[in-house]
Amino acid sequence: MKPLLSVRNLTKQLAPHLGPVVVRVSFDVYPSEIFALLGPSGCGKTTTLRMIAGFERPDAGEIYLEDRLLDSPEVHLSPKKRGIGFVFQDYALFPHLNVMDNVGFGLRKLPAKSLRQRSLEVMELVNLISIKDRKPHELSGGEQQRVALARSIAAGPKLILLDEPFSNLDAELRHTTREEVRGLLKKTGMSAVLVTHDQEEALCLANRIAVMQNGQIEQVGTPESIYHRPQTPFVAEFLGKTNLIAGEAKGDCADTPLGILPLDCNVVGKVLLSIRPEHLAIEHSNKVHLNGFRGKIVMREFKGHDLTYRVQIGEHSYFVQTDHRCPFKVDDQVQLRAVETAVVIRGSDESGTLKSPPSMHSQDTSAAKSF
Amino acid sequence: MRTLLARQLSPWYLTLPAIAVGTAILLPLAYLLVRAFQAEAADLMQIVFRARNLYLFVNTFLLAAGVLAVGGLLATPLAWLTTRTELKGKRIFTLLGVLPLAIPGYVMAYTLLGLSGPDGIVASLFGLKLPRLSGYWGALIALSFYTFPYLFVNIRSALLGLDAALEESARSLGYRTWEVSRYVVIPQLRPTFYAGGLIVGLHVLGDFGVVSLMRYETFSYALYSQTQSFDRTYAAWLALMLLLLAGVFIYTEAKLLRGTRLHRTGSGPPRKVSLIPLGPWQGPAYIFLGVLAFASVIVPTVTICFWMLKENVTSNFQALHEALLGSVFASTPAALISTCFAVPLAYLGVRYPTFLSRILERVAYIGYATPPVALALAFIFFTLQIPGIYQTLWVLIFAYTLHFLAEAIGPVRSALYQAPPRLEEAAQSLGYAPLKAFIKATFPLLRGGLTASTALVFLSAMKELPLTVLLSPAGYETLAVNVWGYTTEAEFAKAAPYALVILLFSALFLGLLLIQERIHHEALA
Repeated sequence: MKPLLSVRNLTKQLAPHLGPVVVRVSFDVYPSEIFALLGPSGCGKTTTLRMIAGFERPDAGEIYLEDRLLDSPEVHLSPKKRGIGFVFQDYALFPHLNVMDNVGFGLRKLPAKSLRQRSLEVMELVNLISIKDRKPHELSGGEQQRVALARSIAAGPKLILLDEPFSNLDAELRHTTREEVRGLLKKTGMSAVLVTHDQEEALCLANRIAVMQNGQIEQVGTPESIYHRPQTPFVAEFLGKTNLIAGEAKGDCADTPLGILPLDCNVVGKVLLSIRPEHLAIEHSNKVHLNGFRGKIVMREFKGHDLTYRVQIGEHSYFVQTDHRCPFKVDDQVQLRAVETAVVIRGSDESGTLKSPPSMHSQDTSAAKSF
Repeated sequence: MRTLLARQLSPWYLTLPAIAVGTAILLPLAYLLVRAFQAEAADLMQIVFRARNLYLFVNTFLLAAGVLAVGGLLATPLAWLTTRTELKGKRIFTLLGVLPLAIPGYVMAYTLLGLSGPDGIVASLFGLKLPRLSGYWGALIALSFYTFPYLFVNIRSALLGLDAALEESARSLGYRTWEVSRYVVIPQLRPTFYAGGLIVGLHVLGDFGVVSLMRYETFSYALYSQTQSFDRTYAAWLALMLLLLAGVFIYTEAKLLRGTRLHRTGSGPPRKVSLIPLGPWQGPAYIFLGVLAFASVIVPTVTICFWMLKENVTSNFQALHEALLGSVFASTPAALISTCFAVPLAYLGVRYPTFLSRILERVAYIGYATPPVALALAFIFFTLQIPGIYQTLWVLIFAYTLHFLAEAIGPVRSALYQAPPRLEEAAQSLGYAPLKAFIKATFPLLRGGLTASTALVFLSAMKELPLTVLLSPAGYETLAVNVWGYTTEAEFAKAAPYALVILLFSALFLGLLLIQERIHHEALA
């Protein structure tokens, strides 16, 4: 399938005395796909989004929409000619216009009658008909967000960009709005690029995620592959808690301070491994288990439906997540057992060589073809 | 992330008018410099090191220092009483404390002159023959009453902004009430005293009406007299010295202010202080407030009305009408033009905060801070070089525009801060070109600000005296010039109707300013 949006080697420096905020960023977005740029604040994700919209001009790299060149060192198409919708973090509704006129703002080229009809259609779609005469300041946060979305959709863009779309809503509203937005995008078949710092939001909303740090993309993939097979220590730690363990790989398993751990791929040499707290189990150390080294529980956190322990083994400590039945106390002598394979973090095997590269090492686009 | 737009180049249709305005302000001032150095080297020495200069400097300095001292003595207790005590009627006293702003300095001087002397009100009502107030003391009283509200509003807002927690922690550390004031409150008010002091100082430097009516020689007054003579080179030098003095004031304030920027640490809104009961001091407090309000607001109004009744008003009606039209014809175009230029300047400053835009905004403030007599002289010199311009109404309009441009920028800028740049970006992403996006998305939100700008400049120009006296075409009648002209000849009754109309316009101006202040604070909150 041909990508709808192609971003190639995008680079941007905001001020001469600061380093670049976006460094050689490349990714593709396919038709009907929801694509998330995920990262901590200041990682360059919003700047990337603003460059796609045309509000910022890249210093280097290209942006294509279908086959049209939007940006290159020589070309810069103005935002008005791009046909890309943008939903702002604070919605940016025009305070002097009512809901209806806000939604119809991008349709000024249509004759009055079809303008009205199209506005009504879109408002119907996002369930705004009942409040069409209100002014933005009379709307709740969720309603403002729907108006902002409707305004972008009405103009009929091929792609919608959403900048932290749920950050201005309170926690409860965020869940329901997230559902609505996802449903709406799927219903209209529109592609979307979403910027967020909330990993849960990205995991549950996006078809694919690009994790960014320091202006660079660390990994692109489906939510599952990003979560279960992180390729860099940053990705592993940014998406939920994890244990990073150094070890010596010998094919499909590795020698580690935790004992011998099974690996998700074949590799030889020094490696860095990631294993999630819920993929470890705690056992009493009196049970003889060849694979585990002895340790001691140093912290216990009861969180209702589960428990988190910190277990000290040698000079390292590890997080373990268990269900509520796990009966250990602080200072108990325990050992750990891996119940899943450990994930080899890419680039960690400096001297070692990959024998069979795991599938996620190439850009994971398999999911994009099956919406 | 908010100023991302800043890194992009500002479009020519903003930069060009802004640069044009900057040039228009700086060019006449630069020409003043050229004129000043046209003198022979030997003459220069004689001009610059004249004993008279020192005399003018001492006079000006003494007046500024006196006005600051009296203003501070009036404003500080007024601000404290209206913010920190359990006094009743604080809102009314606050308003009364601001009201003197509605009485231009030369009207205040007119009041003092009409009050005292052998045929003054006091003489005819109470038979008390006061000597006519004039000279240093007359100028000091008139200017102090006219300018103390500037100090008052500054100190008041600073007192309201102080965090109660600071004073409470000082008290919990064993400080007594006066010690808290001495070591916690006063140090925090320092930047406010400097800022208010600068405003008052510049007013005294620039004042022409009061010192000319009181016949007290300062740089401004001497400069005016010199423009009427043939020695224009000395006039240019006086103007330069005046500008230098204004520069020294601004520089000193900036220097003193450096390092005193105080920020509240911690989060959440500051808590309100608990109000202090005055106890036995309540009586004296009310007397102080009452006398102040009486002297600064009621006396001027009553004086004008008294003189009005002395003369048959209808006989002057034709002349009054003509003067009113004269003022309006000069002020209206100035108001409209300066608002037009305020938009690109404010927009550049808010949306493209670059080195250039900051400089251009500063230049607009130079036009405002330049003592008007010096500005007028610069214009006279400059327009003499351009045939067909000298002594036309356009010169006056142009001078008003450049002098009051800073006043027009304020409201437009507040309005712009309320219109987030996201709105224009949203319009652009919906298919509008940048200029169209501005007109469709931002401009509708500026309407209130634009109206306020136009009105402020209009009313300022209506009551402006020195620029009008020096630059209006021969025989051109305006309200301000008539008040001043009749008062210099001690024709208080003839001046009264003009003064009353001016008072009316000034009150409107003040009302508008107060509303605008409120909007500005809400915009920043």
